Amino acid sequence: MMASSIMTEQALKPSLLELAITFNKISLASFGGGLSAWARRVIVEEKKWLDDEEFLSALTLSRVLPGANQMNFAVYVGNRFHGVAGAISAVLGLFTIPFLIILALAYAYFRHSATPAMQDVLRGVAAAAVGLALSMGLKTGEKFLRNPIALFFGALAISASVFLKLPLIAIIAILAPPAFLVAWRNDAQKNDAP
Amino acid sequence: MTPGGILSLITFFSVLSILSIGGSNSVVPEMARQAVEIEHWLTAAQFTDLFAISQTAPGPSNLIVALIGFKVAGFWGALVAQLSMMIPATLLMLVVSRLWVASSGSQWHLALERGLAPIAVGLIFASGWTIAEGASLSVVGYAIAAACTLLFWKSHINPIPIMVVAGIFGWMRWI
Repeated sequence: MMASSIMTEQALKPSLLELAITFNKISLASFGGGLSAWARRVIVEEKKWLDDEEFLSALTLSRVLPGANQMNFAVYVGNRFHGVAGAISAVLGLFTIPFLIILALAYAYFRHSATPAMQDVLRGVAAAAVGLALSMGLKTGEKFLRNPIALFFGALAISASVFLKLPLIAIIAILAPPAFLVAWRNDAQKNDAP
Repeated sequence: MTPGGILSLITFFSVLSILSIGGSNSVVPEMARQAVEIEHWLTAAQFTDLFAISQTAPGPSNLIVALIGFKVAGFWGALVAQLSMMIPATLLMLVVSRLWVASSGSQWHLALERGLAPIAVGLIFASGWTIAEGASLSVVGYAIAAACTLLFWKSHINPIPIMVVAGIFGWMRWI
């Protein structure tokens, strides 16, 4: 829209209803894995509610703390714009309709012992979900290509997860302190420069 | 529906909520132990079926909890179990989110954000790998994953129709 070409923080601030609708949309599209990639698409690219840096830190918080990652992320975004009320709207938006769907499936399963033969469909969706996750890694990682320190820590995180199969919490616990110290020192040097 | 059943749903899942570090799938083995071996809410085969249903359905990864609650005490059991699983972890996340947002602009916040970003990106790549391994893709599946990576990276195409088509390919057993 031409009229809204001058975007202010205020204009970007979503209403409670918009938070609920957006998280409902994200969660309904999240089957087959790769939810965080879809969340980035909607929250960062479409809605521009968070920039990439804040998205990545919110995602890391959501993954490190206990609870379903998607719910934690909804809490973060909801709280960011509307405090407790925002967190509640985002979580309700995320969970209500999937909850009703799963109850319908539970009813079908226990009444008619019908196991949905979904494994094949799921495998197909997973192939696309892999692409969604990797493309998100490329989009958020592109800017680190000329930054050897960032590449080093990124590569360590990938190897620790893929080859060593370390749990996420262990990877963060080991890599975060040195990564933090390096970033801290670089900032300090920048500030010292005249 | 027994009050005892509802009460054990609340106590079990609200403790599990705080223990589910790294996502709710990390406590699925503990859920199975409690629901199958200790409380006999479900048989082992039912648990496996319900886990598959919860992974297939859209929504957050902890909906298996609603399915267990449904078996114990119908709709209200599902709601109570799900809320017990959600509320403690959600409250903790709320507190930490507020501290994190309140500290934005401080030097340690910026350094932490900058230091963690490449690690987060590495973990995103790793999550793509994990999905691929879990789905036991065929060669065609990997080719489609690679094509989707390029497509979603370089274009602004809506991924949903692509995922539906990939689902149909899977249904036809082409992937």
